[in-house]
Amino acid sequence: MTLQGALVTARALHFCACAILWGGGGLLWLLRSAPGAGAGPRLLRIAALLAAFSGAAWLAATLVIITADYGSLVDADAWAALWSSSFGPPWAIRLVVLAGAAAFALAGRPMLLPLLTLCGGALALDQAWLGHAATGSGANGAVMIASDALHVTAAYAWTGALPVLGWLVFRGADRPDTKRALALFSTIGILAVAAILATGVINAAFRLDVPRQLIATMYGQILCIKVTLFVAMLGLAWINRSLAAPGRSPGMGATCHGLLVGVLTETAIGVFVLSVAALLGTTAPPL
Amino acid sequence: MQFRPALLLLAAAVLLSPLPAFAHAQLLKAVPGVGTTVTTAPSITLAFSEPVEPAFCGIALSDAAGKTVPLGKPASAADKATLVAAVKARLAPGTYTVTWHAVSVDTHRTQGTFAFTLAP
Repeated sequence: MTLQGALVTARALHFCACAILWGGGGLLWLLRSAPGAGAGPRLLRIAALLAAFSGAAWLAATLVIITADYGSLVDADAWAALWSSSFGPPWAIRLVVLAGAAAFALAGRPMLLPLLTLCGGALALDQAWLGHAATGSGANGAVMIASDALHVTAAYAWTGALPVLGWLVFRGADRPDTKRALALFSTIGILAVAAILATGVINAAFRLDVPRQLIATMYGQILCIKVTLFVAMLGLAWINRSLAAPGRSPGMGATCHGLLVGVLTETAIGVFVLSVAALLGTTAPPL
Repeated sequence: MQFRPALLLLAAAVLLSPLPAFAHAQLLKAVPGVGTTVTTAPSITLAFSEPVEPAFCGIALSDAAGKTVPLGKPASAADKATLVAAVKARLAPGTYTVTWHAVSVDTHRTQGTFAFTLAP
């Protein structure tokens, strides 16, 4: 695997793990069930540890790429230069949050669920300072950071809640907590989609001069793939929403199976979307 | 629903308006200029499309024989998008090659090379 490939892979794993912390943790927190055992909370703990390891790998790959030297990993001067750069403080904050999340996960207490969720939210917001949005200045720069932070936060809320929702549906779609989770997710989904659409348009406007660059440049083509996957997720979400509508009985045989398959498929597309986002962030936007 | 056309217009306005586009740090201008002939070159100045991190940037100068010419450490100008490195040797007339690499504030690395000629 090339260094660039390792960077994109680390970022993709990191994005998925952070999404589960924020979206999945948030859904469980809102349910106020705070179950101490089961696949859902266990998934959060695994996500926290994966976020810590993949975050460290992302930082290491970044340092090697910007110095063009593997030796920089053990070079104190290179690390000192990194911490004093404009992207040093966001990385320092990120590492502290990741260490905290890993510690909360290892502690394994249900009461720490809100802290894990808040770590996921902090990681979503911090990410805006580690990508293309950090290149702006003045009022434009503030809009770019705010838009990117909201975009990532909304995307993580939606995609990260899906695996936890799948676990709840698998346990039993007619259970009270599952019905409540489906209703909560419906509201979260609508808000998240609205935020993703609005901030996605703003982000694209800052990175593309003219619409034809969507077709004519590598950055635009990858963005088109991301938008296509997003539209597929929207379509699937609409089908799942109709399957879980109050008039239907999601606990009944074929409907329950259809809902579970739908949620899991939506989760898989969400993983693809975050992976494409990981690649997009390393691709140069057109001038 | 009356707000839908307004929303569509807003989205179209944002997409089509001439907002500044940002990319990885691309070389916009160099002094001495790319491929130009100059009579003096007390320093090498490189202006990029976005702010760069001087600690991770480098500029090297070599003569036609490939011999390295000593330069000062690159420093960024007030706009943070321009790097300046002083030439620390007396240059003889001839063709020189500038090799540079830069890391933008979004952590992306770019690099390039160009030549200029010093006239007697």
